[in-house]
Amino acid sequence: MKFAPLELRVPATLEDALSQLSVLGSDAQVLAGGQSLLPMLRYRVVQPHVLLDINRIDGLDRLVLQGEAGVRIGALVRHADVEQAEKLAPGLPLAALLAAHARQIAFHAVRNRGTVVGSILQADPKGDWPLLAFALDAGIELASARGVRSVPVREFILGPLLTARAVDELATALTLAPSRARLAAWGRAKLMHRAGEYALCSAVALCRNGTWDCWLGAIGDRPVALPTLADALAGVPASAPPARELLLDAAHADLAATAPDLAPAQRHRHAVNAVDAARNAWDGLKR
Amino acid sequence: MNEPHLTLNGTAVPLAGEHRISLADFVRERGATSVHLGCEHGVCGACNVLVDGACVRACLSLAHGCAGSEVVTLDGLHDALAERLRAAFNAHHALQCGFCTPGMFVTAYDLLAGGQPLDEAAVRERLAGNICRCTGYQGIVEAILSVARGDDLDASHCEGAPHVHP
Repeated sequence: MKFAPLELRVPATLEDALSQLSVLGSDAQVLAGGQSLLPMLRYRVVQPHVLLDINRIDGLDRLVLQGEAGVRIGALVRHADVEQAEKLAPGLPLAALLAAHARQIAFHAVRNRGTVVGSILQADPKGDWPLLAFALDAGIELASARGVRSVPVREFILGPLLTARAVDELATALTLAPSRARLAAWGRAKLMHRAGEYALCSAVALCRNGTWDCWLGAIGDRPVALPTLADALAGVPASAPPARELLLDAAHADLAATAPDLAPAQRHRHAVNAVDAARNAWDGLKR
Repeated sequence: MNEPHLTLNGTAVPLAGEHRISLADFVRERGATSVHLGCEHGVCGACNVLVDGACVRACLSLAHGCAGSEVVTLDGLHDALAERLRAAFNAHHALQCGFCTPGMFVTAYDLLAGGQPLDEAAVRERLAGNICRCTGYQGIVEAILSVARGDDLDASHCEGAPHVHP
C-alpha cells in the first residue's frame, strides 16, 4: 500500500526537533532509519500527520564504545555502523559482541538504514537490540523540551510495540555504564529460517565480574532472563566444559517457569538455542 | 540551486510533489523504471538502489528525505564493473522473468564494489535480502562469483564462448 498523506519535517537541530515534538505530541512520529516505521505507515498501522525526520541533526550518529561515561550509541547509528564496531575498539569483547549481533539483523540494505535506537523504540518482541539491551542492562536517553532523562531499557520496554516514551520525548541514545560494558565473555545464538528473517529463537549469555547473565528473546512480550541457566554456568569449574545435559536441564527449568504455555517442541528449541549461546560464551571464557 | 533536489543517475532532479512519495515511486515517475516494486515493505529487494553509495530499499525511503543525495539505480550503472556484471548475468542465465533483476543487480554490484573476498556462502547471505520468485538463484550466484573470481577477464571465458555447466 502507498503511504497516507503526511507532512515531512526535517529539523536541523535537536532543539528544533524537541520544540516541534512538544507541540505536535502524538500527531508526530519520529523518523530515523524508518525500516520498521515506514512498513507500519504502509500498512496504515500508524498514521501520523507529521513525520519528524531527525536524519539531519548533527551528532546523533556518534558511536562511542570506550568513553569515560561508557558506551553511547546515538539515535542515528545504523546497524551497519555497529557491524564495524571492532574497527573502533579492536580487541574489546563488547565491540565484537555488538558487531556479531548487528551482522545478523535483517538484510544488508536494511542494515544500512535501520538504527539501533529505533529498534529499541519499536519494542518488537522479536527485535534483536531489545534482547541485547536487556541482557547488558543498557539505558535509553530521552530528551524533550522539559529536559533529559535516562531509563533502564528493562523498564522502558513495557510490552509488544509499547514503551514508556512520553509523546514529547525523543530517544537520543542507547547507553551503557562502564562497569556493565566490561565483558569477560559473551555468547549468542539466533535461529532463523533464512539469513535476515525474524528470529525463531534468540539468546545471549554474558559473563561480567564473575557473574553470568542469560537472556532469551523472540519469546513472549519482552526478553526474559534465564537465572537457573546463569547459576548453572557460574557453578561450572573452569577446568572442564559444562555438560550439555546440565545446562539443558537448567534452561528447561527457566522456560517452564517463564513460558509454561509454550508447546514442548518450541520450548525445547528455545532451550537448545539458549544452551548454544551459553556454551559459546563459556568457550570465549576459556580463550 | 536553493530548491531541494536530489541527483538521479547524475542528473539533478527537483524534489516536487507530496511528501508521502517514496523514493521508489519518485524515481520511477522520473524515468528510472528499472526500480521495481514487489512487496513495498522491505522484504523483496526489487527496489534496491544506491543512495550516497549505500544500497538501500527505495520503498522504505521517502523521496523528500533524500534531498541533496546521489541516487543511482540500475539505469545509471555503466562503469566497467557494471558492464562485466551485465555480461556475466547474460552468460550465466542469471534472469528468468527479470522482475527481481534490477534489485539483484544493484545488490550484486554493491557487493562486488566492496572488494572483499567472496565465496558462495557470502554471496548467498547477501542475496538473502532479494527474492527471486522464479527461484533462479543458482545462475545469479554463479554470475556474481564469476565476476568476483575474474573468470570473465580470462580469455577462455570471453563473451560468446559457450558456457559449460559442470
